[in-house]
Amino acid sequence: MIYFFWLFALLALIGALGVLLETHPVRGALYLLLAFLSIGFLYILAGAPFLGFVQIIVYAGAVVVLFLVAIAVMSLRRIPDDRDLGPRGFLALVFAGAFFLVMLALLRHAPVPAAPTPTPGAPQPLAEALFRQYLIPFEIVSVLLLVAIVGAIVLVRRRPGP
Amino acid sequence: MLTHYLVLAFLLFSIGAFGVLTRRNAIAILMAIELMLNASNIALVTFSRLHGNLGGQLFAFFTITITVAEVAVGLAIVVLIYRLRKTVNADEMDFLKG
Repeated sequence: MIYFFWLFALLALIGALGVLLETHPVRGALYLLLAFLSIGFLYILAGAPFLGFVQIIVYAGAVVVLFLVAIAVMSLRRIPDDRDLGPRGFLALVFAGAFFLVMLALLRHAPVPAAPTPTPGAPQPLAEALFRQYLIPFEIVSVLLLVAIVGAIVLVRRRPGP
Repeated sequence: MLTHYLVLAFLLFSIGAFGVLTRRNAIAILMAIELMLNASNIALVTFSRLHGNLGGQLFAFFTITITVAEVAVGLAIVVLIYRLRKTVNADEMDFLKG
């Protein structure tokens, strides 16, 4: 179990670093796919199998394909000077490093529950909570998704010339 | 054991934040934002597991939905700007500047 965690955590980190370092857009999207897949398996290991499969289907399936389609539509290549490693890069490094260290310090001092309770990660309790307690947010989010899809289509539609 | 998941989430979030702040390609910036959102999802799932509360997992569901909407609209905007300006360089997308 613990070995699987280290394996997938390592793969997720490799994917994330690939997204960070790779300047070719298509290869970056493939590294993103690696990160998404590993995170999905991590969810399954963490006792949230349904969420893991949703992650794999939605992120590794839909979102990465969306990125690849967008890259293909624009036939993007490397853009010159993609990474900004000047003063702005240094500030970004300081910010990201400081964030990581602050969160680690918080984790060290936060009261983490001692005995993790076995979680009900199966679909049934999730569905019951989703359709009873969280019904209104669920409906709102579905409307939001519809609005976003329609908005995306309207944005990229080729209008007849004026 | 579960705190390892949190450390991984912090690492992924930091990597994503660094990417958002340093990359110039708008597509790469969107990918780095995806990484940050995934990191927050890992943290939510871990806390859900730690406290035996399903709310965390459901929040992760909502985050996933909103992220997909964000990617769809974001990529549409990037494609539109590319059509108008032939660039995806975020430093050159300054035409809202007065």
